Amino acid sequence: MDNKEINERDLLQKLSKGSEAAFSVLFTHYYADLVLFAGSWLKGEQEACEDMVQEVFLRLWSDRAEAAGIDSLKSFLLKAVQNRCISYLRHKQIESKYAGLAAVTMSNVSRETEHYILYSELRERLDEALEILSPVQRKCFEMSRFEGVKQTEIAKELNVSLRTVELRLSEALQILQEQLKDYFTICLLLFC
Amino acid sequence: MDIDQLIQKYLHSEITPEEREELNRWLMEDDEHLRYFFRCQNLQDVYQPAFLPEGINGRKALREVLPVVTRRRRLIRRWTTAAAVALLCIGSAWIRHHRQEAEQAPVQMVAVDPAPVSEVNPNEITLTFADGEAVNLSGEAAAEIRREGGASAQVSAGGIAYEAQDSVPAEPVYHTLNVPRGKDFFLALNDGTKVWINAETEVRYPVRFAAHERKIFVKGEVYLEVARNVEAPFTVVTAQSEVTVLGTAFNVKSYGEEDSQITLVTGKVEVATGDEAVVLQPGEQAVVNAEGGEIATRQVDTDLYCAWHEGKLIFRNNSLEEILRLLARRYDMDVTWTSEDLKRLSYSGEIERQNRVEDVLKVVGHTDDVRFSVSNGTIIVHKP
Repeated sequence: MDNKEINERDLLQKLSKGSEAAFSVLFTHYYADLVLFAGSWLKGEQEACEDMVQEVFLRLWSDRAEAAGIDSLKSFLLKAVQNRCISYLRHKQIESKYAGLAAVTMSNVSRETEHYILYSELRERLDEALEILSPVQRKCFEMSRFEGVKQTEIAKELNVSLRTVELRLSEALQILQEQLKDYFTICLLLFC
Repeated sequence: MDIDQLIQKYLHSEITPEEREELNRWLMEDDEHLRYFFRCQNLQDVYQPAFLPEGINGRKALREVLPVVTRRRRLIRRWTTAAAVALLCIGSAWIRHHRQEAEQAPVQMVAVDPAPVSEVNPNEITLTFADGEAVNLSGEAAAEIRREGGASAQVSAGGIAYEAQDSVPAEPVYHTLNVPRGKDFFLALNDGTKVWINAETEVRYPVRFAAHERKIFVKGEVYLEVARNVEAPFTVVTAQSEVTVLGTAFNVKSYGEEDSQITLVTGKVEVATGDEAVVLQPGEQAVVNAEGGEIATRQVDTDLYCAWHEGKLIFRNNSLEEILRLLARRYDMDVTWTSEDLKRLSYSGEIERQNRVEDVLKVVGHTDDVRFSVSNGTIIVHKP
């Protein structure tokens, strides 16, 4: 992953004038994150996701004359990838209908691309933040947030009282909120 | 049920339709709810990524994409130069025309053809249009050479690219490319499919595909990266079989005299002859018997069969006879054997493509079993 800071405005300017170098920098900067984003739509279809992201970039290249006018490239690329994912899933739905196969389920709640936080932007920070938690806090948080386990069940599994789970969770949330506040200024994701 | 649990269930695709209704109602209540939901979704995406992030190779992907970028760019640049040159020619002709007007009959203006070829040389790459007219595609001149059948054909030094235009033809219009021994070429079809054409190969294809079917005809060897389009299956027709795919990368080798080989790198293809059909998985190869038409499948190292399109030659225990047949085709040479025994020697190794066949032979000749000499387009194979 390319975590280097890039001067996007400058690169877009150069891209619009046909700079292959600018194209290459933008491509490698965003590629993996966009493939992972596509993967949130098309789980298990890495190749299709990579194809789609490449197509989005080729499109960006062929329409490069307009590149200088792009406000937020990240949001622009996310939207383009999302649109491709949705139409790909639609094709698949139609296809499976004709083939008499079980319909492909499609979530119709799009992701919000304006404020979406990319994998490379958040993963490291999230891991660092989770490191700060005590093992019990972390376990409670992960079971509750990422595995979707009920609090009563967490209590049972960890052999502690429900009250303890509640406490550890709210502690964990407070710490994470503090650690990740730069990334979630718009709303407090981690409130309970 | 509390809302966090509903969201978790949704994110883990375990939500029931009723719960989904409930979640939707909650999301509609307040923009703040929707934002909270997006954040959960975002965090989940990052925390449990769909693929191993380390398994995504942006640099490698860039290497695949860049040729397309640079090619398109070069085409435009060259085309502009060609147009400028054409204008200059017309300009000077016009001036001359004016100067001479007084005393002579007007100079006849001749249309400037970017690739003027009076006679077609069969030893060069040849493109045959729908009307049977043919041109050689050699040299550096790059330009749009024909616009018909709802597409424009643009040539550059190493390849030809088709781009769909506004009009859609009632019937597909076909072009045929002939790549002789000693050459190779690249073809970009209007749907985005990439075709690497090996030496001694003929490919016939519509300049613009119909909406629901993509079909090309191949005699020889091609490596294909088929653009995914679930609505229009892609079929490669050879003398012995038909290979049908939706979007995938694979190699087809079908020279009349040898068994055909279809080698699948990614995706899924179906290989069918008149009375048999098999579906290949990645890493499998179908061998179609040249005489009987039976299909046998086997697991192979696909690099061995596909590396040529990246300019590499890879051998694994191939007989010297096979290797020289390949080199003869690639470098347009004849082969003379001074001893039949030598044909059965076998070699393994990887050779980067060289400009001269002598350099390739030098690598093979490093072993003590065989010697080569090259003269007048013939490779002579003899004992040391």
